[in-house]
Amino acid sequence: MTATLIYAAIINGILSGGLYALLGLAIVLIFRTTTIANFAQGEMGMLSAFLLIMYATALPLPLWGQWLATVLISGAVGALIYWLILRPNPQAEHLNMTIRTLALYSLIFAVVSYRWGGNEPYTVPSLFPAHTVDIGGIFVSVEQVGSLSVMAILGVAFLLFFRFTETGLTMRAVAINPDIAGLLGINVGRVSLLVWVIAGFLGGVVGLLVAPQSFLDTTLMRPYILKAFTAAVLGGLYSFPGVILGGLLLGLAESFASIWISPHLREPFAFLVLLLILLVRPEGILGTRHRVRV
Amino acid sequence: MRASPASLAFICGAALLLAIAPAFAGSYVRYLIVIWLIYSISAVGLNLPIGLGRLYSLGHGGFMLVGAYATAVVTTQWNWPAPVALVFAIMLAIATGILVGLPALRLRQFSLAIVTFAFGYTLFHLVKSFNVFGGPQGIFMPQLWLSSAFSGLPVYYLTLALALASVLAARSIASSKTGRALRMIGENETAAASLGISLTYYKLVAFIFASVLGAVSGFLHAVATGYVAPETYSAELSITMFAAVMIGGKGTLIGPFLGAGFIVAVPEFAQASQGLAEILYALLFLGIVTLSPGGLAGASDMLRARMRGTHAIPDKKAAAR
Repeated sequence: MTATLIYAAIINGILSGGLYALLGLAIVLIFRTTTIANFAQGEMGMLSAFLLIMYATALPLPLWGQWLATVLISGAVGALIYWLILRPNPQAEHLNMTIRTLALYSLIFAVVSYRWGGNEPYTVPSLFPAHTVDIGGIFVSVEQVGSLSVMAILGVAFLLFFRFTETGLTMRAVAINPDIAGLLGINVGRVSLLVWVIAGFLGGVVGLLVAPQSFLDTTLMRPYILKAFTAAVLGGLYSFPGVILGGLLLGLAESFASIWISPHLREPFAFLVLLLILLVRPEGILGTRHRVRV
Repeated sequence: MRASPASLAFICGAALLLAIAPAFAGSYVRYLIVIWLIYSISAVGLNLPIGLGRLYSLGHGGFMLVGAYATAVVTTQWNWPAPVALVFAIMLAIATGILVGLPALRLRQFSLAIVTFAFGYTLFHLVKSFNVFGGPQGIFMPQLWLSSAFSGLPVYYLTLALALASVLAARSIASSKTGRALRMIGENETAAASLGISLTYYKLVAFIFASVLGAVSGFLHAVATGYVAPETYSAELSITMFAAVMIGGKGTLIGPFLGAGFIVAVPEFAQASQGLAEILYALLFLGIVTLSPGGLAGASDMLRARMRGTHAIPDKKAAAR
């Protein structure tokens, strides 16, 4: 086992882990504020990648402009989802809301497959140049460095937003108790809408980061969504730093499992990590035990 | 699980109708009925943990996989007869249910859903990557008396009998001490524990009931279709089964049959529309769960209530803990 191989495993682990974490952030955000487990989060990212190559690349903009446009549209898609799917019958229990996102997952998949599935896979242009750079003897592609920076900036921005802005504070209030937050004059509906817009953004960014790494087809986000959920559960479901930690841990565990054990055991290994950690800490790594008063 | 005498009479009537159906129906309709009943059995099982105990199991496809693959492996490689294969499939499902359930059921709601989902997903990858299980190609079942004699009538009646047995079993469990304990757990776990209800025991009972019916359904599916493929039992199946329970109306007696009917019939009838089938399926699915949170079984109640001017949708406060 050479040192280079280990470094490469670390970099790969952080890269995929960062994507799990980013997608997981969107999931935790929606879960905290609305107690909905958004199963459609991955497909929202897949849709964004298709929106980029089908529509945004036709815009008279540089590539980064097209990316930005796609991410903005993804946010609008998030708003649309909230209005059309989650607003009707708001008094229904949260399990029903979660099932709606499952239906949405099927719908996005079906529509994209019908519209564009015939000609897949597609290649998606990367935002970053294709050459590699030498960092202390290890060659890393600019794409990897670029993806990592985007993820790091977004992750930090996200945490800061929640800690220091007023909107972030209202979101945390709604997360703790929507009814009391409503009584205190917070517009809970508006906060939910905003949450879905942010989830749309994050899904879009992840979709656009994942798509250039492989070919784009309708199953693009399938491996990521389960990992993102796993990261969220690992992190304790309610904690933003927790889900980031969970995502990175999962990415690293997978990466080392594939070089030390076997590449075929990546998927089962992720499950094993999840089970082991939850056996020791059912509330997740950074989660707190919820005490329920009866 | 509401089990009024009327619904019981309805079930008996429906069973009687299905019992004489082969005299009139062609082989295609008969095949559809069998597939519908097979998925119904699975949904009846899943309805118990979801509908009563609010245990969100998203790995039900994994138990169907266990049933189907256990059947396929022992009948092809060890030449066991089908009834023995069924018993073996059930035993294996119970063992798997305990193995997964004991650690997983300590978790709640969302975490439980993810862990069970990961279970189904992992099993799918395992059978796909090992040649003992036929790898990506799957396993062809041998010629069985059940599926070949009398143009498939034995498997038809076996499925019907098992479907009836499963719904009666679900009904009797739901109205027993176990059912009441599960409902209490679903309502409020902490309160249930404080009343001396063993959470581990009752959750495990519900979970094992579901896994047994899942395995029975997998067995029947393998026998009826003559082929066991990994793609049939992908993670999608777990989601579809969960959806079936929710579409039909969780916690009701006929809900699982309605939901299974939906997931079997809609794609089947929409096949003619090429590619639009999936969109239609997803749209209907989305429409039902958004407009009628109680599912198909709840829709009639809701309409009746709306005519009377009251709301039948359970209040969010009462439902969400």
